[in-house]
Amino acid sequence: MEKLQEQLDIPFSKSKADVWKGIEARVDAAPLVRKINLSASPVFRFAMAASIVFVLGVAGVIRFYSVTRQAFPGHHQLVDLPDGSTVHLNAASSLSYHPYWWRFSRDVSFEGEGYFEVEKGSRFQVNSERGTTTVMGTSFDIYSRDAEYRVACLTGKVRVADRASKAEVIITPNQKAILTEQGTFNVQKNVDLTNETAWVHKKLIFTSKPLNRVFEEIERQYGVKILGKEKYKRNYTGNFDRDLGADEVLGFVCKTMGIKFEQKSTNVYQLRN
Amino acid sequence: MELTFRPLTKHEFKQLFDRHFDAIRNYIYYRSGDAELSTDIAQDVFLRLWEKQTEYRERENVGLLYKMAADEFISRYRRQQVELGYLKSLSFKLHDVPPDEELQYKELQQKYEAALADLSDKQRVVFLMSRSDGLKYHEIAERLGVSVKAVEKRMKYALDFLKLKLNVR
Repeated sequence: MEKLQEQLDIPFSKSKADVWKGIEARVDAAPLVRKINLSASPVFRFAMAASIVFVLGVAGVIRFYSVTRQAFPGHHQLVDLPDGSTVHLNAASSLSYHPYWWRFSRDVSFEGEGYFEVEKGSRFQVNSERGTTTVMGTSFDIYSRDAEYRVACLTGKVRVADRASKAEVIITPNQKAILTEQGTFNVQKNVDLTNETAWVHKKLIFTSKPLNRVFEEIERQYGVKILGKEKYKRNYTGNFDRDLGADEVLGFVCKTMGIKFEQKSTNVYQLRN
Repeated sequence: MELTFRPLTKHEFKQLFDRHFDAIRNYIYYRSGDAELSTDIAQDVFLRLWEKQTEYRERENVGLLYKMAADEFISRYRRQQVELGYLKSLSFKLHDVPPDEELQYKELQQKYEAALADLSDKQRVVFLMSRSDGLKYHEIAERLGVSVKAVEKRMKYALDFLKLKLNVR
């Protein structure tokens, strides 16, 4: 068998040399250097796809990463924004912003009451549920709770707009814009704004305010619950230092208005006539 | 994006061709039993390797040639099977045989060809690559993309089968 194998040839009709001649003709015709199209290679495509996903991911984080700062009932909170602007949050207020997107747009979402001191620069916008306040660099106070929305301007110029009706006003120092239920603005001029921002300096100032609102403010400032407050609508005027305790402030208010109250537990008070 | 590097020179390509053309053509012949088809496919894969303009790395280049040849054979074989049905036989021609022994050789040759055709595809390829082309087991394994163990096994079965069929030794 071994011997037979040595004697066997495959009956190819074309010799190796003939085949080479055919190939050589083609080889000489083809250019020696070829441009390789990298974009067709699967590795390159994968790398492309991966880098696009990565860039989108990073951009997404930069754009949408947000920080929320909150002042809980009974506490104030001072928030420093990336450009040095500050927001003093009154009790039970919250603010959120996009720290990495800050250099492109100074937008914050805000609910509650806050005193803003904005560094000069590009447009600074505060979005709340009912209204939008836009400034370039100034200081102002926003009150946005439940259906109420009002803005007081301390320095600079502030543009206030209703989110629904798109009505807007521009207010200058010592003016105050109050959003009405109809979606229009009521601008008060020459307002003494020390009352409006008194809370920043730990003062509680009530100027002919309905009693139920006064009790709500006390609840927020001290983080307490006051039961049976809803029926009191009479107006009340008075000043307090926030360093006083909740029971002392409540005592002053109730005494002058002829209301009795008792402490039910640590943070709960009950009003009665 | 573009990138240039030094591709296979004509000289290197010729060298590859000289060293491996026969083995690759034989390989397809062992699988197909069709001399024309084998020449065709072997020429084709060499041209395709040239057109790829890869770098000169003999082991990789040869591996690629075998792979392309096998793939090409399978795709043509499938087509052909649909068209005509595949003719499964191998034939060889004798050379340098002393005239007095010619008849004896002819007889043996016929048995041998029939026996080879009866072997399985894989066993026949391994057997012939080893015996006719003189390739070492590890070379066969590398070119077919199987383990050396598998080559040894196929070889053993092929030898047992042929001995039985040819009544030799």
